[in-house]
Amino acid sequence: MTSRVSLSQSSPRIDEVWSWYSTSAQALAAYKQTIKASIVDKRVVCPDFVGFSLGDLDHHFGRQQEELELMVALALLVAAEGELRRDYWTRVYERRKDELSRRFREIHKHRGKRVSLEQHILAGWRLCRPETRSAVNQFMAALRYRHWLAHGRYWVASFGRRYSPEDVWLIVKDLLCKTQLMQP
Amino acid sequence: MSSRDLEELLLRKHEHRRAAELDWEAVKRDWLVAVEAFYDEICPWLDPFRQKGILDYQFEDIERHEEYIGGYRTRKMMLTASGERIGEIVPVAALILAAAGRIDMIGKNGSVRFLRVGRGSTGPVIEVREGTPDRDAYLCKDPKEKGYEEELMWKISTPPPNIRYIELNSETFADALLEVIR
Repeated sequence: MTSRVSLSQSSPRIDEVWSWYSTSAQALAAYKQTIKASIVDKRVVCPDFVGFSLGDLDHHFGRQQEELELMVALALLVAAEGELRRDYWTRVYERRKDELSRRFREIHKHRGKRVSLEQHILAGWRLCRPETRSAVNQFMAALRYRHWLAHGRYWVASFGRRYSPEDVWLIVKDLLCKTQLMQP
Repeated sequence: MSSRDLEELLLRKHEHRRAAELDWEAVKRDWLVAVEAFYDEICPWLDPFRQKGILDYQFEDIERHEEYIGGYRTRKMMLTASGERIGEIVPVAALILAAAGRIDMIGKNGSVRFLRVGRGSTGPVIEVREGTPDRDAYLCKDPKEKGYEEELMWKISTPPPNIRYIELNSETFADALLEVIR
């Protein structure tokens, strides 16, 4: 008998991640304008930008925004993973009687704690709850993006599409709503 | 994101209104004169090497466009040794944070920044103040010292994070050139 997984209450919700993104993006834009205005005013408000031209500022803040967007996309995807895994263990421990929970208990019997998000949890949802299939498929495609981000982006990736934070938000929200892990 | 877009738009409008109050044509003229003054300062330090035939330089016209200032034409300096290009000196912009212009010297080993700052300035003076900004304050070594415009000089800026301004003379210029081409 393996020991139970202690479920934490500290994992972020996707709306909290979005709030972080929104605040950070606004703060970046406002800070850029402050720095830009200080070029005109001839004030030094931050030593990091001494010697910067307006073009340098555009480039610098463009890179900051890009990096923020990548980290937000990753945070949204892992927040959704946290919700799915929490639900998995809750179904296993509470011994619910529905088909999906029975399947998860069966997986638990054979795999213990070595449960795969894609091969076991998402595959279980797709099989037992056909109404979630489209949302699960979209999320599984986005997981390739998540792996690329989480492993340091060291390879040249081709996802066949662009994933903006807004795109990722819609994908994870659709999945969590269809799986009833989040209120629409 | 509409509140973010609105804030950005309002900040941009605010900044453009303040920017419109400055005489940008005068800023441009001042910058173009300062670039030529920089070349006038450094050419005598390069000429002894040129006379020995171990270093040469030529100028090439370049077009620049800066926000507020608009388009202008200036010159960059190409440095060659034994027929091989070893570096170039390029005017970057008149509008520079904490300086009244920047010129970069670029070689295969990196680049060095020349900033146009107040004569007495040894490094950036950080100001975080509320209220109406004082455009002259950054030129003074002591931010409390106001009421006159300090003469502007070209100085070598050390890289961040600990930025210091080094006096520009034949020795410090030679060190800087050596650093980028070595």
